[in-house]
Amino acid sequence: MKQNTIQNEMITKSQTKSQKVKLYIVLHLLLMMFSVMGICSKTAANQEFMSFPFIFYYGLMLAILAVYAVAWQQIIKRLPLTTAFANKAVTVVWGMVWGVVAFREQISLNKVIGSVIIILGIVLYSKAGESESPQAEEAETQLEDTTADVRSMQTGESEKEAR
Amino acid sequence: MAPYVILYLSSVFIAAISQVLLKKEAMKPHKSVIQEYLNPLVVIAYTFFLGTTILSMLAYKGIPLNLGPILETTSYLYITVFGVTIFKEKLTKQKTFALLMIITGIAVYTVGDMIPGLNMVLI
Repeated sequence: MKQNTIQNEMITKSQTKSQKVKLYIVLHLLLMMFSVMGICSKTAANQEFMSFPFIFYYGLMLAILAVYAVAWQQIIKRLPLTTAFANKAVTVVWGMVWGVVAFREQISLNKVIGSVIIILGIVLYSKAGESESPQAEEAETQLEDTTADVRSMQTGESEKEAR
Repeated sequence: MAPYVILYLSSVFIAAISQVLLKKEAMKPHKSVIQEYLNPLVVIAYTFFLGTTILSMLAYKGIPLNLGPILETTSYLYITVFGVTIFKEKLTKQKTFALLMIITGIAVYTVGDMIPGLNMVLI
């Protein structure tokens, strides 16, 4: 019985960890998608106003924005807001990557140093907010609740097995 | 390039204002979900937000793509100012230091282009 409980706890812990990893992967895919909006926006800006390519790229940008808004809401339900915002700093890097890839922009040393300082600033800002924001605690609690639900479901299952 | 930078910064500032409007409305009690979304303040906020997408797109006519997300980080500054003045939030030392770091980073990123040695092209 004890062995079963320990096994279940180990399974739950690894599931929670994999849940978190999945969440972070989804969050970063979402942020990458968000950064693609910049490509659409700049491409639209280079087109003739109200031409078909302009409407296409601007429309695509709005569509991405809509998907992003809905998905972001789901992410912050499951992750502390501060963590989500700290991770948003990665869009600075994506901006440079897409600039080089899509528009052959140049990256100089000052840009790399500047972006590192900005990213550290954003992370520090989010960490500062973490201690003040009740929402962060709320989201942490929600994640813990989900974990507790999974745990109770598993305990229930193992009890049934034992019977 | 300067007018386009100002245009982008204005777009970020207006987006911050729209966030304030949404927050103000979210703090009020509503009788129904429809009322929560279909009220003047929320409609104005979303109209502002749509306007910012047009402003930032126009700004991209004159600024490189990599500069957009950098200028976007000024939103932390605006949101903090609004938070402190309108919603009476606390401004901690840590937050002030973080904001100074963001501003320094933006300065290094933009003005650093004019400093020999620092403007060495990597890619």
